[in-house]
Amino acid sequence: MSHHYLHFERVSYRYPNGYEALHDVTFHITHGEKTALVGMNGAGKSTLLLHLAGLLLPTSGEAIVGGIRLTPRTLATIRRAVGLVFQNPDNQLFMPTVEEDVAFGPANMQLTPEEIERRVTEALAAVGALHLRRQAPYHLSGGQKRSVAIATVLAMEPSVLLLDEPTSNLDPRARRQTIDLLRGFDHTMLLATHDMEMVLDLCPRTIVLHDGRIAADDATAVIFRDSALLDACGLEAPCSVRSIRKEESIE
Amino acid sequence: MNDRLQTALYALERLEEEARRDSPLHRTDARAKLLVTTIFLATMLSVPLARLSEILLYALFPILTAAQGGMRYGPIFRRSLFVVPFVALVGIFNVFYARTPVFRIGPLTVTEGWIALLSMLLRGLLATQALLTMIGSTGIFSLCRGMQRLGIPRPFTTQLLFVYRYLHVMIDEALNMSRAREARSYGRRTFPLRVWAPLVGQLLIRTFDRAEQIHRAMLARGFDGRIPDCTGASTPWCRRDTLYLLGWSTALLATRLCYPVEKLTRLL
Amino acid sequence: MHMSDALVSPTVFAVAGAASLTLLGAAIRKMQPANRLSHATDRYDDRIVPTMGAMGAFVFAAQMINFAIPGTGSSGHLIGGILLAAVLGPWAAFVTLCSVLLLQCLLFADGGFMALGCNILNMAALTCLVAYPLVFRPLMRHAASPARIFTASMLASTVGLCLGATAVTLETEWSGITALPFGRFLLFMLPIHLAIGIGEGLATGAVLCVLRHYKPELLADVRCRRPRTRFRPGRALAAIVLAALLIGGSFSWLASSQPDGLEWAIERTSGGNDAAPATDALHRTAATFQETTALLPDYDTSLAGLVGCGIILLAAWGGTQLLRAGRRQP
Repeated sequence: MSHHYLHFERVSYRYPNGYEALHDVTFHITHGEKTALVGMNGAGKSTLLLHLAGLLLPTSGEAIVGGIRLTPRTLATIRRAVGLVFQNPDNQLFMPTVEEDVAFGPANMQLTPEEIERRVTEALAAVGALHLRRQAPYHLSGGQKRSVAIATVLAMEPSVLLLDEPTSNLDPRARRQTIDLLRGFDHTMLLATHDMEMVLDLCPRTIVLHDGRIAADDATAVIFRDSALLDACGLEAPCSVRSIRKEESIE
Repeated sequence: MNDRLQTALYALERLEEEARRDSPLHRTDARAKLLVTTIFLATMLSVPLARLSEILLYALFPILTAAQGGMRYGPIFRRSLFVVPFVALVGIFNVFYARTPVFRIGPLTVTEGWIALLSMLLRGLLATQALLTMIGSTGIFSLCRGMQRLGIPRPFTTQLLFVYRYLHVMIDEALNMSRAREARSYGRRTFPLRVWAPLVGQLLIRTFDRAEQIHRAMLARGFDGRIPDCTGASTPWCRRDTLYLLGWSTALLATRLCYPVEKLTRLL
Repeated sequence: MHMSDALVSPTVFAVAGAASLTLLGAAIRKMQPANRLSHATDRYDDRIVPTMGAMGAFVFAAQMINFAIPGTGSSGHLIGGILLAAVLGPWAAFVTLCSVLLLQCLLFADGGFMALGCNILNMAALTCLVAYPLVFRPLMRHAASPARIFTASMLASTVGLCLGATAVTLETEWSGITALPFGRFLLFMLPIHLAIGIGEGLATGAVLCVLRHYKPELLADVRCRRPRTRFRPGRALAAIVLAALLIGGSFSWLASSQPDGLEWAIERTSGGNDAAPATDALHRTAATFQETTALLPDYDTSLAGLVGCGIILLAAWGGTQLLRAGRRQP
């Protein structure tokens, strides 16, 4: 189990049109750690996640995901070890029914029908969506779509979970349910998000990206107290932290 | 135009809802329904136009299947009416070209052309109604799977389901875009080409971005160019399906071969 | 443009259905290598699956947005064959349009189920596989000016639609449905479709110009030269002429030997698998039945028959209503 770590060593990525989305990114996330990835729009969060999921290859530098070096040969292996939940669940749920969508990943792994069935049931049960299994994706509410999208990834039994904006476009209750769901997982987890309250709630560690570089990588509590850093990176501490700070300054 | 997009969305929703109901017809295998509908259409369309009353007898099929499927015939009939203009456009010429009288009702002389026009309209209406009852009692997914099991190539049925899946998303997106435009166009119903082209072009570019995203989501879950055979509910063929198929196909073929109305009329 | 089931006879829809299924099979096989080559520079070559799905849905949605045709009070909408072909390549565009046509027929009863083969030939094959490679492709250049784009799409769309209109006319005539002579029917159809074609050409040109401006890389099929999979216009033309002759020939043969396709088919199947067809019982019944029907005057539809039939239908409908009511009561 100890090889479920993520390691980036001076990774840079340049899009074909010349735009450099990542520049000299280095970090290490150990097994079972829940880490948040924050930064402004266009800071490179999604590009970083795509690398980790084996969907992009670094232009330079070395990325190791789950103990495997990211090369064109290992892409397929890495995609199986890592589960990426996309920001827009409509893009992730492409099969006609929930059940088939959750079965899509396991079926690609050429498992036996019984094993596929077991994984579908377990994954849907894990997100509390077992009653939705015969529904079509577009009949689901936003929160249900998100849960099912997470289930599609869980069914592949990945060692690492990557989530892109897991709480965007959700109503408060669905957001709370999603956060509680994520808290229950013991996977190595990296969340790219703007939801600072969730970061505070869920992730002990935070990486701040700014213009494709790592601006800070520290304990969440430390980062949220550094208002100069947050200002420079176009971020804002969550309300709860701000109000504590305000009280402190009044005192 | 927003109305059209909105109407399409409602139509899709209604269809899904209808297909999720339960009835003897809903429980029948999609393949049996496909085959019976095909036989119905083939036999009905092969009746010569001159035999209006024989074609009329075929109306029994949509009436009875609608009842079997727990659907009301009235709405189905009303929805099928929209084929009338298209068919009438072609059929009306028969009235002018075929003027031989066939029979009279009081002072009214009915000509061959009128019979042909009525037959054509009836053909159009009945064909549409049969299709509406089939799709309403089956739903697009089961129907696609049925087609696949009847030998339609897999890449095509997969493609069909993809289009259907993203239909909802794209109509929604088009609706949002055209609403945003309409909010600033002060009551104009249609767009001038200068406005329309960027709107549709934008929609197309977004479509491509979306396709890219979907492709990534597929790759992330181990997609290798071939959609795997997913579990899906593949119901077995049971006796009800055989009965349904045999019953209707013999009835339809017999009606086609024996012209019962004509025999009955002559008997009387 | 969508043909209704009411306008086709069994012979016509059987032949057209077989032809379009064959084309569809060929297109599915062709699609794969062409796509691999066109995206050869990319790491991934299987994105055509989701792209075709999303593009099919796009065509559906775009068809519901109307634009005002300049200079007239009327409005038109995109049909999309040429546009799809420019973006996806002719074969993938053909498959995509086929799925759009099938869904239109199933979801909105737009065009008949049996007439689907005809509709695929008229609307998908003639634009994507004929007008596009023979008219649009040769006229386009790598970095075409808007004027060239408009000319090419206008010409290709009108050619595609007028071919389609001719095909609709032919199919209706071969079905023996209309009493209108071929020439007049064509004269009636062509001007309408010429007008639609001009509207379609304008729309296609306008969208292509927008694409060229914002995302030229999307016009993959126009942009890159693929020597191996390129359409050879001469050969394609020869193939199409041959197919037309074959289809036309078989139609006229069928039409002359047996006016009714189903009866022909019944005779065929009952006689075909037996060495001595004359002794076959079914065949004999079919033959005698043929004689009796042929001896009867053609238009013997009497008022009594119609009234009787109406009574039967009313009784059936009333029965179902009673059943419904009965089911609801308890």
